[in-house]
Amino acid sequence: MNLTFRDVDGTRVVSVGEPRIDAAGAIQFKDNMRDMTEDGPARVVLDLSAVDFLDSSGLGAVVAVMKQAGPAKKLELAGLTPTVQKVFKLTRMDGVFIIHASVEAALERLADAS
Amino acid sequence: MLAEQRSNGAPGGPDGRFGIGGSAPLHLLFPATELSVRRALVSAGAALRGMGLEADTIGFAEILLAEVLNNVVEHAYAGERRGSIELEIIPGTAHLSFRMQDWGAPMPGLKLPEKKSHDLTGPLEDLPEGGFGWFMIHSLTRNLLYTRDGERNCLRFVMDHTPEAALD
Repeated sequence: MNLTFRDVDGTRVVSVGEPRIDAAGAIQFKDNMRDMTEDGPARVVLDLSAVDFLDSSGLGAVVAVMKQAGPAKKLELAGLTPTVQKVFKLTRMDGVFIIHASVEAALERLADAS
Repeated sequence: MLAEQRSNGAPGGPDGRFGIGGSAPLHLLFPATELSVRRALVSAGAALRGMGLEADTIGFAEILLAEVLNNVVEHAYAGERRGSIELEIIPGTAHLSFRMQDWGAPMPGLKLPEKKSHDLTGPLEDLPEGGFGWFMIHSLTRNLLYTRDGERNCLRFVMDHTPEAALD
């Protein structure tokens, strides 16, 4: 699974380089994300701008990542593409996560852009 | 994966049904595995684009199909079971009709899971990590019908081009 990260001003930006987070890849995504967020800055922004599609397994994996990061770490999302946005909205999970329009917006600490 | 999409204007589908507006039905047959489901979704998306549907409609259809197809892989063909899934998408006037068949285990109690929403207001550690699928399926469809005939499961449903769930 293609995940990369960079640390910018106390924020770890983890970019998902896969076009889909789905049933076939959700478990691997969760495991790889744990490795990426175990140490490093307390604030993590998950860059989903390259992800065209996410199903309920993918959503569950993102929730699991947020839970495993625990109260000490803040997981935020950025760059949700249209279909991914639909899944978050349909399940009302868009009210649970802090979602930014882009990584740039997240780093400028703009208000939630949903 | 076996895919058929007959050319515009010709009657299509096993019953000779054809879509309104000249679009022929899409008929896919593929193994019930997560990777094959992914490929089937990509094929279905391409076919829906070819039908001239709007991006939002295609997005909702892909979300819906992912949930129903993954359910078959995960439950009907759980464990050692192997088999195929047959999917038909028939374009209607302002909707899409779907028929999905598999030869796996029956639905528990031979009925559909209910639309159950989650309580998302609790603490972080109590957030659900699963169970979203049937909620989304119910939200996006109407006329959802499950039948079992011998060894075969059949799920039929209709999705409007703008599903009610999409409206604010």
